[in-house]
Parts: sequence; C-alpha cells; structure tokens
Amino acid sequence: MNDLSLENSRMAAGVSGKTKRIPVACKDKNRTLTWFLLGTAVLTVLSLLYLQIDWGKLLSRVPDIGAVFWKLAHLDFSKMDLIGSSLLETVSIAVLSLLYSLVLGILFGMLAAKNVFRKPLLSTIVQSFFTFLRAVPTPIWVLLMLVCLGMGPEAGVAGLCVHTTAFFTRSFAQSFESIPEETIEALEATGTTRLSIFCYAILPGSLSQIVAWVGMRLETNFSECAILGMVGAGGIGFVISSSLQGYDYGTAGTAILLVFAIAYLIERIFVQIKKKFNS
Amino acid sequence: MGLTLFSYIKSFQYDIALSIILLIAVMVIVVDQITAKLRKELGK
Repeated sequence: MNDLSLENSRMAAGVSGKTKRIPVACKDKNRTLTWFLLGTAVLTVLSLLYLQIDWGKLLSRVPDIGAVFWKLAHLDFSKMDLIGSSLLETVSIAVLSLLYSLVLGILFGMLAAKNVFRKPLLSTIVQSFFTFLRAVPTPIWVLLMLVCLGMGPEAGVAGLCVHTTAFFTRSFAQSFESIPEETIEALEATGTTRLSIFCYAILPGSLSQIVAWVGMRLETNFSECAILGMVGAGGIGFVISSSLQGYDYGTAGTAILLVFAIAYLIERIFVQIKKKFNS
Repeated sequence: MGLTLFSYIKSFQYDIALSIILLIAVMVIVVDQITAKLRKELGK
C-alpha cells in the first residue's frame, strides 16, 4: 500500500492527526426534538397540577361509560319524524354554508394568492385578516351569530360560513399558488388579462384540489353542525342534547348513529368524486 | 374559557366577550406559529 492510500484509509478510520470533523446534519434537529419533548413534559405536569384531576373518582366512574353506551345501543325509532327532519336541517345548514363559503372562498382566495393579481400587500392583508377569522373557533362564531340573528338555522349557516370561508381562502390560495409559474408567464406574454388567466388557467388547474377541500369541509361542517345544534343553532345536535338531558338514550343513540352514517356516506361520495376527477 | 365567554355573552357584557375572543384568536395564532416553526425544524 502506498503512502497516499494509507493516509486515506487512516483518515477514513478517523485515526489521522489531521482528522476532518464530519458535520452531523441531525444535531440541530435532535436538540429541537429534545426541547420539544421537554416542553411537552413540563406543560403536561403543569396542566395536571392546575386541573387537579381526581383520578380515583375518574377510575371509579369508568364502568358507567359502558353502561351509558349500552343504553345508547338500545335504539328507539319512535321519534324518527323528529330525528329525520332535524337531520335534514343539519344537512341543509352544512350544504348551504359550504356553498356560500365556496363562492366567497374562491373570491378571497384569488385575492390572497400571490400569483393571481401579483399585489403582495393585498395578499398579505387578505391572508392576515382570514388568519384571524380562522383562529376563532366555529362554535364561537355561531354563538356570536346567535346573539346577532337569534336562535335558529340562520345563525348556524352564518357562523359556519365565517369559519369555512376563512378556511377556503387559505386552502384555495395555496392551490392557486401551486400552478406552475411558467404557465402564467406564458399567458401573460400573450397579453391575457389577469382575470382571464385566473378563469381559464389557474381555476381549472386547481379544480381537483378544490373538490378535495370541499369534500373534506362538507364532512367537517356536518359534524360541526351536530355540535352547534347543542348551543341553539338548530338541527340534530339539539335532538341529541335534549334527548340526553331527558335520559332518552334510545332516541339519542338513533340520532348519533344516523349522524355517523351520513358523515360516512358524505366521505364515500367525495372519495368517488375525487377518483373520477383524478382518472 | 367557552363557559366564561358564554356567560359574558348571555349577560350582554360584549366588551369582555370580545376581549376573550381576541385572546383566543391571539393564543391560536401564537400556538399555530410555534407548531409551524417546530414542524419546519423537525422536517429539516
């Protein structure tokens, strides 16, 4: 073995006097992970200390969970007319809020996307505004709408609309920005207006993503509607809440089962629609 | 927090209710920023 190859093999083994430090790529990542785990542990301990959960009482009540579920499993179909109409109301609230939000989401998404009008300040303002709207949870928006519009499905539609529009604005803006820059530049070079570029290139290009977002959101809206009924926004949530309060577990169980069935159906339908779009 | 907010809205104390809503929004945004930074760091 000559001197050069001997030196190389010694360097590879790390025994040379002139050893080179190999940078460890995951060092920072490990440090972040350690801090993250430490932070999580500290927050968990602080939460436990603050809440002072009575674990003995909690464990003693565990068998009651089984008892309640057993009562819920005894389905009662005698109030199907009430459950059916409430379920229809919930689906209508979810669909209406979704449709209004879809139109508004496309409109504001267009303004929030950086590649449509190419006005960074406008995009930042729109994005920041909708970040704030999105940060406030849906039940709070519905609660505020209940104060403004009174009890009933109108408050549910309006409250859901605010949060769903904020969600769509962000999601659609991301989808619009995923269109290749070359396509837009090529159309710009031909003198096509910004609105035409959006209508004939960006929007059709993002359609499959929009369908996916809409499907996901319809499912979420339907589930949220079921909760919102409990605060007075109408729909199946009100039936579940009042049945549970009146110890009518059979009716509550039937309503919960139907909520699950409809949510599953919506998911399956949108999976099929998305498949058609992708094929 | 939800219960507190609900009680203030029911008692027509909208100024306090709005303060709570703003506080919730700020907290959500801060947590969102922290988790986004964490995801970025851990995804490197």
